[in-house]
Amino acid sequence: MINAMEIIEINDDVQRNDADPTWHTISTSWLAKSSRVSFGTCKSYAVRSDVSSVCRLASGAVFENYRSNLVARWSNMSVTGVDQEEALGLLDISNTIELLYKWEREKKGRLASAYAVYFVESNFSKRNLSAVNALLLSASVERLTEWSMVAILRSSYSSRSVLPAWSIFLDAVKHRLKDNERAERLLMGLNR
Amino acid sequence: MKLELARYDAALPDDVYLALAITGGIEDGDQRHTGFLVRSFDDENFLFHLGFNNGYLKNPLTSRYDYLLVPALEPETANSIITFLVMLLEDTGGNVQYSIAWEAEEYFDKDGKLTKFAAVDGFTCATFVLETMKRYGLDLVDRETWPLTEETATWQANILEKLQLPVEQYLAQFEVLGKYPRIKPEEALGAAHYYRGDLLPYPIVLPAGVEVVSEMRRLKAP
Repeated sequence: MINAMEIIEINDDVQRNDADPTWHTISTSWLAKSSRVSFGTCKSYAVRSDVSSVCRLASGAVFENYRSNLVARWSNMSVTGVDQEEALGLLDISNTIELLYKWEREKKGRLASAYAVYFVESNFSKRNLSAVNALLLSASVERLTEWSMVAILRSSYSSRSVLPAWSIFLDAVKHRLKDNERAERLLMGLNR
Repeated sequence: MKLELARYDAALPDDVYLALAITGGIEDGDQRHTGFLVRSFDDENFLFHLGFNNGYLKNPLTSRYDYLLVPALEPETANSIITFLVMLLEDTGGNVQYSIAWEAEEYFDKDGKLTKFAAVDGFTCATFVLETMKRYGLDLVDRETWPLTEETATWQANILEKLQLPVEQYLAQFEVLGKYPRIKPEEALGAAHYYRGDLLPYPIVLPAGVEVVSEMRRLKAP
């Protein structure tokens, strides 16, 4: 086992030394961020992929090691029953939403929350506000828990004035949480 | 709920992964420092803070720190902010500027840029905490109610000499000495404690900051 800082160094070396654009490392997307988020240790691998934009990779063996650690640390849940698509990097809208639904269904809300923030912030960095708006527009609050709902709302809060779907999503969340005694605290500050 | 600090070695409650930490002197006029206390899943406590210019850091929490639990930080909110702090560290490599300027406008802008970095821009340790929370919908204080005082201008002049800034940053900030208000680290914690969704004005936050220092004093007493 190596620590998160070593992961970055190793993967940076791999990237610098390999001119083949079909080489990707998990670190450039989800794994590095996740392993740092968890502040723990996990395994790191360079993985060959034929997909150019995201790390749509992960042989079963590689991912098995990665996600077991990640999921265990993030949600303190059983690591069984998790599929390899969770090793993907920045997904498109529909895959992101399905992944959030899946994690929420499996009571891995903390993991879903982290990915939701990762999705929003990554798309902000790419100035892809339409992706964030689409997430707000398409995600069904009926299939999410407080973990994802709060993460989506708060991570996109600063851009709410240019995200038409933000207030719609907020209203839907308010309705969903109308009987939740923590609703006021969960949404504190978001009405400004 | 009474404002109460805990010593660095007091265990966080089970479902708490994020709090605010503070350290420094306990006398009037002493310099203090603040940042986010983040608990890892290995139950290690880390400090995410702006230590100096281009010094946004993740460090182990040391015995010099006390911490405050923040009522507004429900676990779901805390988890989002922690993810942001980690991503910011990765995205910036720690290169977050220090500045005495405390702008009214948002530091994390609407185009998706995480920060704006003209030579005059940046954060103090306290405004870094405030602006991070604001970025996630917890806008704690009404900056417009903060006074411009001679004490603030003196502090700004002193800290500017200690920061060892690059010339461009130094000159840009030298020009604005005394033109920006200052929120102190203990005031950031005090505001976080009393925040209930509305901006808190200076007359509320000032005594809250005094309470924080009083708590630091209590914890340091033999």
